[in-house]
Amino acid sequence: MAHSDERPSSPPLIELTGLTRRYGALVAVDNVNMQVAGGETRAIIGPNGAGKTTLFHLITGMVRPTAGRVRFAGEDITGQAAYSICQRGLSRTFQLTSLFPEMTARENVRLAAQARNRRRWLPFGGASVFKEAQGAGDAALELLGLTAVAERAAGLLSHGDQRLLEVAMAMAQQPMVLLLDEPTQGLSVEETAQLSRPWPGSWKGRALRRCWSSTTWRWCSD
Amino acid sequence: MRWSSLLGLAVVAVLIAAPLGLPAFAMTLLTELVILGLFAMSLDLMVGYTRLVSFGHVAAYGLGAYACGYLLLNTSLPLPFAVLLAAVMTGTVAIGVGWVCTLATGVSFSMLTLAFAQLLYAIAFKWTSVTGGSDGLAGIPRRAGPMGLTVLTTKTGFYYFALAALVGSYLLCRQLVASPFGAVLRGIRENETKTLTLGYNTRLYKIAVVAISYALGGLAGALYAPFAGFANTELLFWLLSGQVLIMVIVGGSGTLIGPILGAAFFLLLEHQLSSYTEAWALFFGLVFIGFILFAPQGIWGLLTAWFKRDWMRLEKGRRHGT
Repeated sequence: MAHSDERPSSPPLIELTGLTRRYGALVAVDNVNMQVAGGETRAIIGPNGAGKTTLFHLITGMVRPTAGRVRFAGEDITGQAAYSICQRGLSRTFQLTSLFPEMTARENVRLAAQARNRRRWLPFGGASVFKEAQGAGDAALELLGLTAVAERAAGLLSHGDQRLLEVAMAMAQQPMVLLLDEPTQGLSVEETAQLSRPWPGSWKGRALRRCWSSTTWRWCSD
Repeated sequence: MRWSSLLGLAVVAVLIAAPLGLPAFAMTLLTELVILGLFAMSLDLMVGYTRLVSFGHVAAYGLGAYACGYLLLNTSLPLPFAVLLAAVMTGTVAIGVGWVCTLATGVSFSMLTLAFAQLLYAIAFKWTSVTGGSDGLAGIPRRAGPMGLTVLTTKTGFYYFALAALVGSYLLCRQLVASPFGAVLRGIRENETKTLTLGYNTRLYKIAVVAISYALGGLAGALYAPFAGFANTELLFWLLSGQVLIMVIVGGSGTLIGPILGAAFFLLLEHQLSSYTEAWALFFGLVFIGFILFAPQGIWGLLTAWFKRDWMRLEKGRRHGT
């Protein structure tokens, strides 16, 4: 994937310079330069194997780049651990839904929101930590229309609800940047519409400043 | 009050009253049971709550036993302090063990914990000046010390001391797994990658749980040394690591209570079977296979399912009555 984009309007939140990842002879991500400013919504499109997911892994610290830099809010975060990049305000979802299957939907979003609490590691008590996190989590569930299934185990939810739950978990963290990896993959036309309905209008009013998506957006190209 | 807390209080009451009605040999068995229960419960923090399967938990037990034995033989520390200090020492060593072992995951993690236990086993054999080599440390005293703690040196007194350690550790573990820290452990158990990308430094949490688990396992070992009066290399032998893992699984992993029951089940079955046959381990193996196939939730899982059903029937009857 080779992609270049120059649109410096406001100071960029995400800035990629010469980002490259090679696996032996295969160049998965080739010299990507890109700037994304606050409030923007971007879509990364490309056929299977184009390197969309690898690009996400590079930004979120899951994979180390072979060359190039990643800057977030002006700071160089290249090669930092995935947890510390997320702590800076960059939340993501996975192409293959990644949840806590034995926990209920409410517990899933609570654990996601708990990561934003300074006392998330507290080894005793913690009622106030849980209460605060559950508040943020429940709001995210409501936003994505999952309140009715909140007490169900995540592993027992329908495929569409599972995908929505993962978005809700990212939303519960109130990130500055939201990276959605193929959020509509495997969804029916109706479920795709459900996911795209609150997107991005009703989210804009929240703390979230910018959403970003990597998907083929079937309904977009139709 | 929930039925499980009622049941727990009843069990503790029975255990407290036990010395009044039991003969001396049964008290010895009961004390060993309490110590083994604590050992199994400490492993449950790793296996049941974090899905960190340790094949070398005997390292904690043996280290605690040797440390406590050494302290009682070579210093003038009274018994409770020696026991607690040995547990703290084991936990401190475990930070290093955890740091190395969590470089790997899955089976590799298990193998590394086993390697550490084997390393300690070799050290216990070779470092004769401290560990006594193949003879081990013998004649470990239950020293009361200057503070009038002589009650702890008696058979019954020591039983209460071990029981207090078990109940205290259980309460500590129970609030630990219910805390925000415990919620993160559960996240690691179910999906470590997701927990990491949600912003948790999962490795640090894993090292912490290894340290706590080893400290409590070390506490059990530290109680065993003055209980038996000796500490030898058998307390670091890998077979015991497998046995304690079986206790956790047969009792019901991820429940804290279950592993204690598993330890009791194991010890009583060993006690009974070994008087009939040399090959008691064979029959215990069959029982273990039976549990894996037909009751993977373990003894505590079976009990809770059974109690819940009865309790609900009782509640229903009460509602119908009014």
